Amino acid sequence: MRLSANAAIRSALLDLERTNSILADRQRELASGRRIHTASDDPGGAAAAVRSRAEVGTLDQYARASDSVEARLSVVDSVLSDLVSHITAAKTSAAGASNSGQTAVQREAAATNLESIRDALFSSFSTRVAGTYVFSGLASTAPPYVKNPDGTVAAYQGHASTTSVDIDRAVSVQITFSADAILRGTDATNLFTELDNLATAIRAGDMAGIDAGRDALDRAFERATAAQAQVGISLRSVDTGRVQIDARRRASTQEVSRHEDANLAKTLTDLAAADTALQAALGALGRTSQLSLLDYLR
Amino acid sequence: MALIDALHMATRAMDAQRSGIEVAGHNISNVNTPGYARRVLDLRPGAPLSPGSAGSGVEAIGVRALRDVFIERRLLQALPAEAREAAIADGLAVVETLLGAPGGSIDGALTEFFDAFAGLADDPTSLAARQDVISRAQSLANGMRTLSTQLNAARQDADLAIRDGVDEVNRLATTIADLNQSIAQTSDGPTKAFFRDRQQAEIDRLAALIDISTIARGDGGVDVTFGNGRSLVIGSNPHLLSAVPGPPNGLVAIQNDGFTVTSEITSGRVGGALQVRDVLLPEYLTRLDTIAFEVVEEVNTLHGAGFDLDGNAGGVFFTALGATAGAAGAMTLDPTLAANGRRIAAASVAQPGDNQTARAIANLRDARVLDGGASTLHDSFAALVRKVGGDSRSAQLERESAQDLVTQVQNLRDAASGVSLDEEAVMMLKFQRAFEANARFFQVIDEMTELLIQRLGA
Repeated sequence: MRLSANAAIRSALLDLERTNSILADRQRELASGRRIHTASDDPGGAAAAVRSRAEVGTLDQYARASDSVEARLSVVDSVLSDLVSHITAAKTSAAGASNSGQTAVQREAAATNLESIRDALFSSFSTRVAGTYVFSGLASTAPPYVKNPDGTVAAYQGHASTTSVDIDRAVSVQITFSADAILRGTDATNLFTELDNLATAIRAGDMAGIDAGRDALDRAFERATAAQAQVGISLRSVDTGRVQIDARRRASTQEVSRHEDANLAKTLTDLAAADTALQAALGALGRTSQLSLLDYLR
Repeated sequence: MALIDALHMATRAMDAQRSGIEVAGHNISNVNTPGYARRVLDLRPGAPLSPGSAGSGVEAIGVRALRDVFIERRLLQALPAEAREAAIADGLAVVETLLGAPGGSIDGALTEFFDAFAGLADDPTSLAARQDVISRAQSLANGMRTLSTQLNAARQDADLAIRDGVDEVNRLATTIADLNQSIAQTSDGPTKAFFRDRQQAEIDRLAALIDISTIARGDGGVDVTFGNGRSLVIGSNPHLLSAVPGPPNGLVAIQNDGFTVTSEITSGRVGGALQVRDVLLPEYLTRLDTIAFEVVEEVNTLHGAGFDLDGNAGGVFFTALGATAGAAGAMTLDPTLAANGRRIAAASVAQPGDNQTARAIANLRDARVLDGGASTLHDSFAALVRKVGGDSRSAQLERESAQDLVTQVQNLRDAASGVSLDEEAVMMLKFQRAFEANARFFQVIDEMTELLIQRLGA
């Protein structure tokens, strides 16, 4: 077949362009550390990277939610621990006051102690986290209780339903609580009222009233420990969930890296091969372009 | 043969050899001329002038251009395919850039939007969290509108390429028609070949624009058709194309002799631009609009059933959209809500601490609301990325394949019609030696004639 000068140069130029293109691609990979710069570099890999990055984002959000939930529940746990301690102290005072040999001064001291416990619990259950009342249920912008002019505590003004937050897919944790469910439960009156009634009974030496107050304290203690146990379970689930989220995030991040990141060893090898091919093509073109019959005709 | 006849024979032979050198020189001069077909000098022996004579030397019949019509036709089939894929690859390279990197485009904006609602669910009374929702929602809507605008701009760019292509087709068709007239008006072979060379270069350029077929005319010119046998050039008459803007967005339709022929142009750069403008980009826009519409519909449905911080019914979150078409370009945050974060309905009951609506909106990230319940919003965007990447990759690979074919056919054409400098060097040497030999023959005859004259004249 006749081979004209243009045919040889045309083929060589096409090969040079393609080799240069490969070289440029490998250099870009090496400089950026990424093998996917546009979707056409690897359409399937790019699509998978979109999905993997979305998963990483979701898991990051769950991790942030877990941190926030843990902080809230730690505060709630602290309040419930205080509640248990205060109920225990109240029970001790009530037990002492049930002794018929108590003097009026001793009974007054016990009653005053119970009122102090009432005030401390009122303060504890008015706790706010990030500006919201955690013991008001859904009505988290208002305190669960307010005080009457005579110093006693009014009825619960929060909401019975509570708020939960997702810490993983199909896993949610309660973050607000109903103080009424803890401090009253199924009783006719809440713990604040019971403490006031108990203080009155102690001052009056009313043994039947003191016994009724002690029974109310026992029921409040059970409710408090049950609530605290539930918070403990929630905190453990947050910890467990966080470990799983971390593991899944690592897996998803590895997926992103697998799709997007360049294999530097392979890139370096391919770059060297492309460079060698380019030099060989240039050398061949330079050599053949020098050969001409015209040089030999004189 | 008389001596004077021998002198004439030598003269004709030197003229013939000189013509051969001229042909070689003409070939060498046009080694890089597009469309040029190498010339060959046709020689034949002269007839004997008298019985017993060997002959009357050589006659130069004429100069002929070497063309292989089958290879030319094959090249006209290969050129449009390569140009088409090049146009598609170039068009989609821009679209790929518009899509952005994974995590840095609509997908990232969606993630941040849902994260913002998850943050609001964590603290539904927080004004800062509400402002974050507004910011992320505006970013998402801005991203959708921007990408939609850019894809539509890419359609306009493709439309401009089509208009430019039509103008170029018309210019080339007019030139080819004029050259047909020039070819028809001359009976001289070399002059026809000269016009034919120029015409072939124009035909090659035309084939890169649209898919054409050529029919040789009896007078040496060519007629050109395109599409379903539509006339583009018939003799000296060009049948020009026109690019006619039409509703609803002013994109042009291509007409020829009063007929709309847009769908008949499937190859060449114009065909590639039509594929990008009318098939690929609308498909991408439809997918984007579907994602945007679904986001608006799902969020609005949940938000409308919820309650804001002050216990009011939620209403729309995004401005309501009437249809999927154009949804991405029209996606905006409800202005009343954008101005007042308290209007965001995070609750499902009229209690400020409730967060069920915010949770439900945040969980839309995992909801399979598209493709008949098979895909999440992120899945659908990933499918769009794969489609654009796949189409671009296919065009690049097919372009390379078509380039190889074009190169092979061009090399075949060069083998038949191209100029080989080495070959022309040999031809020059051949005709030069022949010229020298005939000049020597002329000298011998001249000396013989002079001797005869001297002897007879003495």
